Amino acid sequence: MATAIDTIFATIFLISFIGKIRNMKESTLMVQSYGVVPTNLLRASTIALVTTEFLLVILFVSGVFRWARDVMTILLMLFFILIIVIKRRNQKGSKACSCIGDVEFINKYPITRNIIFIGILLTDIFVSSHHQPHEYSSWTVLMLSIIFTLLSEVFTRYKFVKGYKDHVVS
Amino acid sequence: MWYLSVMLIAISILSILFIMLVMRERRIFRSIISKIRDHPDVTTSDQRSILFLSYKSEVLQELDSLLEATNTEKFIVILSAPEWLVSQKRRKWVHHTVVYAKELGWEIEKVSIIQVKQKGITRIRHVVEYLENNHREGRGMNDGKHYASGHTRTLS
Repeated sequence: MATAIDTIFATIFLISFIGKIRNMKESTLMVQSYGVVPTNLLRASTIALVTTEFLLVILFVSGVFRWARDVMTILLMLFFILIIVIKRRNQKGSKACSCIGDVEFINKYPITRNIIFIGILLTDIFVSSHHQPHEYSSWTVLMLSIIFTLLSEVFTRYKFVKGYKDHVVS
Repeated sequence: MWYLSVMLIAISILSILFIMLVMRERRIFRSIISKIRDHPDVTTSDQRSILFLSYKSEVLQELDSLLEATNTEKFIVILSAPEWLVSQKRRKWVHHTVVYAKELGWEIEKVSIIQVKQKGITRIRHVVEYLENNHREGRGMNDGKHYASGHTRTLS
């Protein structure tokens, strides 16, 4: 149970971390598109965001500071819900935010997704708070999250490569 | 701990697959760019960024005014639209080269910018913010110039 939750969240933050760090210019533009951060702080806040995600990957993989880590993630999710609401109020343009890399089916309904994540984390706090770090070793969590990340990357790229044959540039 | 070694094998297979797909993706991008450069409106050694645009996209209104006003960075705009709209935009966006997407045999779904540089190809999806930044920089520069010329004129 705890291993499953750790794997899910480690995967999510690893995908998002890799997607952001691969194209820092674009991530800065993404932070700008939220419309909350002043222009001169854009680069700094992007670096802070990426660092937070990396830290969360490490925390979820190792399974230490279970309680504090869950609260921190919930706060982060609430913050993102707030940002998305503000963004939607400001501009009625594109609804999808690319908070988690390029994977589309997660990014379609960001608010619902974040609420589901918060629910999972709350169960994690109340169910498995005083357990030992993992039932399995943290190597398992690390490897599983790497496998899932690679799978999602391969899936996205395969879709692009296949879609090009129909002469659709997307 | 047998499952760890199984996972290790899976990771290596997946990474090989990933590298193969990345190579194929690069080849596709290179073919897209070379196809654009073969177009008569564009020269072969053109290093401008390429902006893919469709008339169905939600941000067309914003991009329209931004493209009309901005001339700091010049784009090759591949526009997927009816022919009358393409010719209208060709007259409107004088700073940029507009290419009719159907001439290349394409249908464009999503808005994005492709930048070609020595290091490789970068793709930008947040086009509106990118263009807004360009526009802001350009406006600042032009304001400075106008102000300077006006100032010197009053002095002399």
